[in-house]
Amino acid sequence: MEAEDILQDAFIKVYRNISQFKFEGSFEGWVRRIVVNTALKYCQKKKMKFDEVQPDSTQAGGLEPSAYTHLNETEIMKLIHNLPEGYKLVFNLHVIEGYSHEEIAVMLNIKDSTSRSQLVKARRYLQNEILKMQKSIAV
Amino acid sequence: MTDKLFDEFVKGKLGQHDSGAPMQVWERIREKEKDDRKGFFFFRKYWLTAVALLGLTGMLYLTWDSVVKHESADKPAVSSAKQHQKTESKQTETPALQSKEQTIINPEESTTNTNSTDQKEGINNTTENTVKENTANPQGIKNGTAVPANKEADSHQLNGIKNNSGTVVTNRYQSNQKTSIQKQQMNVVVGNMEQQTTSTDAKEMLLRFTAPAAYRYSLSTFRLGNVPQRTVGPACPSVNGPRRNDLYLEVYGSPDFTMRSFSNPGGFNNYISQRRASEDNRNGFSAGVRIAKNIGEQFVLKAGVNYSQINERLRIVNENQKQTTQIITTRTVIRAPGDTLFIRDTTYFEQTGTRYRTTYNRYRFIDIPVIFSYEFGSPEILAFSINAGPVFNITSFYRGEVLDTTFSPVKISTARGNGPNHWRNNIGIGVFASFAVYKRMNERLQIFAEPYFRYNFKPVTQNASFVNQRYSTTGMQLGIRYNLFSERQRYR
Repeated sequence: MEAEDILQDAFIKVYRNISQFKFEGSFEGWVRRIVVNTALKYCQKKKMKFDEVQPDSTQAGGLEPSAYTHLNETEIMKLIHNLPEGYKLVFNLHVIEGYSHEEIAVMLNIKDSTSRSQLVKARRYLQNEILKMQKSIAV
Repeated sequence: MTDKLFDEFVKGKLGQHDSGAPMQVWERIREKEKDDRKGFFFFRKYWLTAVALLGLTGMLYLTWDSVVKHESADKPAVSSAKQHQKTESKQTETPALQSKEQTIINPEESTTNTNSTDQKEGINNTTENTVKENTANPQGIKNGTAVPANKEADSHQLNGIKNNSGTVVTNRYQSNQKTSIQKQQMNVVVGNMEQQTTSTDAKEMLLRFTAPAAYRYSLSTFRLGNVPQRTVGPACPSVNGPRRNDLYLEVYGSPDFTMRSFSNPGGFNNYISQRRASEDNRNGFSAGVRIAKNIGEQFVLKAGVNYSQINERLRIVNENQKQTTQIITTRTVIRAPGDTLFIRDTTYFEQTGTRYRTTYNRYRFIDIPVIFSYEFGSPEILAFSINAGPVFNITSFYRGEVLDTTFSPVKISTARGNGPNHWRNNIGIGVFASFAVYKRMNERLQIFAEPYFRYNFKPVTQNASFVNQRYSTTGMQLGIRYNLFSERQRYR
C-alpha cells in the first residue's frame, strides 16, 4: 500500500509539474527521479534511521554465483523487502536505480562512507539470507 | 568481484522488472488530483471570502462610524437652517423685497429653471445656467408659469415671481422664495466651487461652509442646543486641546526563527562546514513584558524585559563504533542433597556499527529592549506602528554541546578561552526593528501582531575564539496591550 501511495503522489507531481520538463533528458529518467524523490521524502517522513543491524555471525564471504542464479524475481524481491530500512534504501538506489554513493549521500543527507558501508552490509545480509535459504532447502 | 557479479545479477533480474500497475491506480490518481484541486479551490474560495468579509466589515465599520458622526452633526443643522431662514424671512420684509426686485431687475442672475422638478437640483441648475446661459433665453423668464403647490418647490416659486402674467404670491410663498434666493445667491459661489455636488447632505455641508457668519452661527447654535454631542476629554480642555496621555502595558510571546552566521578569522573552514552539517533545527521563542508611554501624539517609547531562547540540535554520527557486550549466565546445579553448584559463564561479543548521538542545546538571553515607535492609522479600528531601537543584553546562559576542532562534542562554557565552546555571558547591544498592527478590543485593551527582526552586533563566542558565531533572530510577537491610563483624558 505504501508503494501505491508513493506512486500515486509521484504521478500527481509529474502531472502538475509537466511544464518543468525541459526536454533535455529522457522523460523516463525525469519521471523516475520524481518517483525516487517522492519515495525518499516518504522515508524521511517516517524518520528512517540507518540502524546498525548485526547479521548472524556467519560470514557469507564471497558467495559463488551458482548459489543465487537459481533465484527468481519474486524471491529476490522478497529478500530485498526483508532488508532493514537503511540497507534497503541504499541497496535499491545503488544497485537497481544506479545512483552513485555521492548522489545517495546528497539525497539521503548522509556521508558517502555511510552509503558505502550500508551497501556492503546490505549485500552481506542478502547473501546470508540466500545461504540460509539454501541450507533450509538442503535440510 | 563476486559482489559486482551479485549486484549485476540483482540488477539484471529487477532492473527491467515490471510489477504492473495496481488495480484502479489511474482512477485513484485522477480522483486524488481532482480532490486536491477541489480542496485548493475551496481553500482559496474560503480564504478570499474571509478576506472579502474582513474588508467589508472594515469598510462598514469605517462608513458606519462616519455616518453616525455625519448624521449627528449635520441633519439637525439642515432643519435648523430651514427653520431659521423661514423665521428670518417672515420677520423682515425688506430683504425679501430687495431680493425680489433684484430677481426681477436682473433676470440674468435668476434665469430660467422651468425644467427643474427638484427644488435643490433646481438651485444648482440655476447656478450653472447663470454662468452658461446668461441672457440667452429671456423667454424663459416670461414663460415660467408654475405656481408652487407646497413650500418645498422653491425653484418653481422663483418662476412664479418671474411670471409677468400676475401669479398670486402668498406670504408663505414669499418666505420660501427668500430662502430660495438666499440659497441661490450662496450657490453662485458653491456652484462654481462644486458644480457636481448632488447629495443633499453634501450640499448642506457646503452651505454651512460658505454661508454668512450669521447663518453658520444659527446652525451651530441649533445643533449644540438640540443634539447631545460626544463629550471627549474633560469639560474644560487645555489650551492645546485634548492631548494623548497613554501608558500601556504590553505582554507578548513570539515563535522565533534564528539565523546563525560564522566568521572565520582562524581559517577553520573544514571545522565550520562540520558544524553546519551537524547542527540544525534552529528555532526558538521569546516572551516579554514592556511599558509603553506616548511622546506627543504619534511617538511612543517602550522599554521592558525580554527573554529569548534558541533551540538547536546537535547530531553526531560516529561510524565504526565498537561496542563490547558482556553476558554473564549463572546456572545452579544440584548434585546431591546439600551439594549445590553454581556455574557462571561469561561471554563477550563485540559489535561494530554507527552510533548516533543527539544533543538538544538551549541558548538563553535576557535583554532590555528600548524601542521608539511611530504610530499611525486609526486606534478605533486598526493602528500600525514602525518600531526600532537598541536591545541591551543583561545576561546570556547556555546549555548543551558543540563540536571542538577534533569533532568531538564538548560542553559550552562561559569561562575564558579561545575554543569554539567558550561563549560570552553577555552579548552586549543588538538592534531591534519591527512593524506592528494593533486591533482595539475594548476601551483599554488591544491585541497586536508584530513581526520583528533582531540583529546582535557581538558574536556569542568570546573575543579570543578562532571562530566567531553570531545569531540573528526573526519572529512574530503576538500579544496584548493594556492601557493603564484609560480613565484619564483620552486622545480620541
